[in-house]
Amino acid sequence: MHLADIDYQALSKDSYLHHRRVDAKLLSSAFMLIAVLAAQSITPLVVILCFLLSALISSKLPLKTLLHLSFYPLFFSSLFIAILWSSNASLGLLSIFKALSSAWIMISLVATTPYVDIFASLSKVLPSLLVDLFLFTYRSFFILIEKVSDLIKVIRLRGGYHPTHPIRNIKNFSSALALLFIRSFEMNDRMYQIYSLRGYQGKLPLREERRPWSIHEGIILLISIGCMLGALI
Amino acid sequence: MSHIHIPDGILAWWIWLPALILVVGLLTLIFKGWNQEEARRLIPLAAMMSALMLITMSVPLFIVPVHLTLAVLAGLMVGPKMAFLSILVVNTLLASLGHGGFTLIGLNTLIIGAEMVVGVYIFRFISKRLPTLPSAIVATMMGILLSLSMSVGLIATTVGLAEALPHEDHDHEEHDHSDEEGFILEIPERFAITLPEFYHVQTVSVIDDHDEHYKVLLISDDVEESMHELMEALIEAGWDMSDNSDLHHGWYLKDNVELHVKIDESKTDTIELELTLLSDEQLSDHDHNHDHDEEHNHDHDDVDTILSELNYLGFSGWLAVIMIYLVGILLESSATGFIYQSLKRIKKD
Repeated sequence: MHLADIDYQALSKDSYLHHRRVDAKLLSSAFMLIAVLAAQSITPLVVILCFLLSALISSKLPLKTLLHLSFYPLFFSSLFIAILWSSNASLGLLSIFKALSSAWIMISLVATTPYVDIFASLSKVLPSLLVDLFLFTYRSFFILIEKVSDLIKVIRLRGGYHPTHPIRNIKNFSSALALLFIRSFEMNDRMYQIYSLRGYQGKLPLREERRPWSIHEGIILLISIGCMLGALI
Repeated sequence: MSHIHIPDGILAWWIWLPALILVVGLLTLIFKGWNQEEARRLIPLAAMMSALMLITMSVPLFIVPVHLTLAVLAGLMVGPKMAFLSILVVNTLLASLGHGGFTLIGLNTLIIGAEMVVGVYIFRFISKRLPTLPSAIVATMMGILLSLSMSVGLIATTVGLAEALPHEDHDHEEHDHSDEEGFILEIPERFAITLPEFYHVQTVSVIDDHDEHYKVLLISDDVEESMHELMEALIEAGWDMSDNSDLHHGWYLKDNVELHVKIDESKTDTIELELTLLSDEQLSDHDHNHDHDEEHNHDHDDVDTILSELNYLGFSGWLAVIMIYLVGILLESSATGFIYQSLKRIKKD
């Protein structure tokens, strides 16, 4: 799970895309995704992949993380691609490029934009309750992932794991998970009460984007619109 | 378990777009008749549940090649409406990391949402008669059976049954010919094709060389292995294999050349290889018959390949598939049951 790596990448690194407006990046990603879905030949996908690769390299995403994240779509599409490859190699290649480019579009977005900023931008169109759930989930993930790794160590140290007793293992892990869940929930609930005391009424006041639109936003939008038109025509 | 991992660009738009629209419609319905105050109070719990689902859905279990979803547990904890939102949030976050396509968020939300809704309502019905643990286990099993049938059915009818089978990344065992010298059969120029290298072939004799026909006999020390390797090499070289081909008879087509290869039944060490130049009329007839079966045929071959490679707990083939799903269902339902029972014990409300 690379959520923490991606989050660190988006928050602490500095690149051309990191400085661009979130709505411009979201629009650009949407146009690129349309281009990928509409592409019927390999050429527009190769162009899109080149743009995305240069964006990912310039955003200083570690190669190891990129390869690992690219492995997900490639592995999950491997069988389908194998079926196509035996009957039509170019269609197989088209599917590989589509899978890879759609994954890279999302990675280049989340690796250069903190999730909180994405949610803030989405709050203009999505129901506030859903946006709040995204934000709280995002926060809970980091609370839970840390506690889960501690919990696994504790269970092993206290002899709660026996390779030969699967039912006992499930029972132990389930009880520990339930306890962990309640503790984490209480922590989250306290946070919710603090929010309520400070005036939370169903919509978190998210930071408004203060970057002005510039020629650079125009450039990334033009590139993505160009890719979309190229794929559609 | 029922999460679809197909990346973007593979499923047709008419499959994923209606699912996305349906999810938007369901969200509108959920938000319309919902007490906002009550919903807000559930957010911390729902967020914790989403985070737990996010972790379990991104970590494959080591003992079985599937991952848990804990969707029914989410439904039991926060109710079906909020759990549906949690499932949508989890699928969106997973898709943003390339785990399942972005266009599949709608389909995945509907399938896992259906599992959750069925599980929750069955639990509510049977928990009046049975204790918490068995009720949660049975309800989760029912929910998973439904969602698994939905996802396997959807994948099998749209992409192919091979994609729907549980599988791990296997390295295909190939016969290494690096030390052997292959035999290249010279084909007359009028056919404008080349054939892959043959192995195990000892002698070749041309028995027919007319305008549109060319027939040779190959004597091999291992005819079945030769036929198998020839079949793989031809497919790799872009030849279309006919649906009624097998290890003893093979019909292949490339451009306007038809290749018929068969083991001579009277002489067990002989392969008969016949090349025919097809006219445009014959070619269009062939294409018409061939197109109907091609997709089904390749999928069928891949299903056979996966099934032959699949081995789980001493079972192989379809039994291994059933065992994998059975162990997965048992793990998910018992984890849901035990966690929910423990939560009930620790915190009654």
